[in-house]
Amino acid sequence: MRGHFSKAKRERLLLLLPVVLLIGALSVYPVLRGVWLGFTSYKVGRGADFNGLQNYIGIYHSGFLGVTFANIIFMMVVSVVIIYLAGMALALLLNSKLPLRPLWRILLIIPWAVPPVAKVSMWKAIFDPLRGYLNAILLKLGLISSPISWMSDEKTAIWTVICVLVWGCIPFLTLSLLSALQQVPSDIKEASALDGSNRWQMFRHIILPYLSQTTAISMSLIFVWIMNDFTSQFLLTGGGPGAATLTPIVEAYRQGFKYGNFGYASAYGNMMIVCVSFIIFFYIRAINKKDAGVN
Amino acid sequence: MNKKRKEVLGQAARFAAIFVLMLFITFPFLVCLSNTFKPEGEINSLTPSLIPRSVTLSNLAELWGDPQFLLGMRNSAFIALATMALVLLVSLPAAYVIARGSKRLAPIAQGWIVISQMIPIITLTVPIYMILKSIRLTDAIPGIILVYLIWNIPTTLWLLKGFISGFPRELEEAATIDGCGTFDIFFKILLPNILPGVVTAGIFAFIGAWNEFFFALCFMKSPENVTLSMTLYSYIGLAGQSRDGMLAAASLFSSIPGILLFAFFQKYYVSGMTDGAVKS
Repeated sequence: MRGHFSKAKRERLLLLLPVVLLIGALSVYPVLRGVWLGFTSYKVGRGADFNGLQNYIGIYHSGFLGVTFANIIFMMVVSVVIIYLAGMALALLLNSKLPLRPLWRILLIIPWAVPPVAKVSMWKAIFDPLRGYLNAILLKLGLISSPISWMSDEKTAIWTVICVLVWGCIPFLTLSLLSALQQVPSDIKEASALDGSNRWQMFRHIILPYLSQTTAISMSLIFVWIMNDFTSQFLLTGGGPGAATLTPIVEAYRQGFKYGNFGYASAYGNMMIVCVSFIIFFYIRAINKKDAGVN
Repeated sequence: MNKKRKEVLGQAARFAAIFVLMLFITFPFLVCLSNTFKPEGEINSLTPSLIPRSVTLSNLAELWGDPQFLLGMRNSAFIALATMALVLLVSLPAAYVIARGSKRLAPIAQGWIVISQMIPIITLTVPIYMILKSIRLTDAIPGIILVYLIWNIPTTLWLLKGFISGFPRELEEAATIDGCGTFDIFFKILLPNILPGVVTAGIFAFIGAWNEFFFALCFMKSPENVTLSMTLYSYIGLAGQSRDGMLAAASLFSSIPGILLFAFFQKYYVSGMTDGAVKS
């Protein structure tokens, strides 16, 4: 009996080994190394010497610290609010008796499935100042009198990035809310209807609490996806005009892979980790609640 | 009568709402679809129309005549298939052990999966670049496959762990009593039952690699290693040089695998991503 047990254990270790080795060598080690590099003067062709907080002081004095984080936090907060409202509306609509439901569900996949670079190319055809659809439509409706350079105007550029981020994230939230909505037990809804509660009360007091954990988990994922999303932020506006849409990841890429300042790039990474830690905190809390709720 | 009228009005309002939201969701794709079949002169028109005034196949012909696009497609297909195969190969056994394994192992694995999904991509990029350089795999297809493999392991593990946990353990225990070993149980009992989940996890790794841009941009330089996303990127750089029709056609083509596969498999993915935490 004892021998059998240890054989099973050996087998299990063997099955686990490839992932443990790969993750150890190419995930855990690089993360630790990346955090360390943020405290060094590492540049192309030079050694990685510890330099304390020099990188952070340098970033602060470059003026980009405040701008990049203000931009990304603004983008994340505004996007997440719009994604939530639109995603909830779509999920409720798709959960109701609606004609052509299968068609809407398939169309909903589009923004999620399109490669990020193609996303940007599609939206550029809309925001283009001369040939774009947005200006053409607004001009025709008489809402603007001359074309606007949406992607290179300081006031509008950040909204074009937000628009692409929102567009890309709506499907995931909608589909996860929809799958949670479909699991709301119908007897709870019936009981609440018998109690004479109206639609809003039912939504507010029955459905919304039922969705809260799914919402928290999906929204945390979306937060991090937006923070890590390089393609829309880099290809649509390139951080410009000036630094109007510059975000930590775009600036880190420029510092690291354009100028070879790998220490600087990693320092941006560390500051992003601090931001993300707050999100992880809420994510883990939501998971634990969900666990407790089910067990 | 009044009630019926109210119902009809409600239905109309709902239909209007879904129409407006869906217009936003589909509009960029419709523009891309329309530009694919428009002659270049019409794309540059100041009064664009979604329905082409004259239809042409010249953009498609130009795209399929471009060796860079064909090479990008071929490289991305190979990279995505290899990523999918490798990520399933290493994740399946590990997910099985985590789902069925000791009580100590699951929280550690779960914690790492959560954290690794949230690490800023830039923190990993520089050290991975250095590792790839030391094993001479920068600017090489096997190198990028390795990166995509690592990048996709957490999600794949997460999804597979959820699907395996959903399969009743009692059936496996019964098989153990009948004298089946771990490998028999895995291949003959578990795998056939969780196949939809395995296919879903594989497809999401495939599309992840097919769509990826950032790592390719940082690690790949040579023209012969170009991926689909990098080809699209180079077309965006050419925009305004009368290649917009070709860019639209390329965007359309690169989107097809994702849209087709997601349409069928998104259901498992969504429940896997948010429920994976529950079934422990």
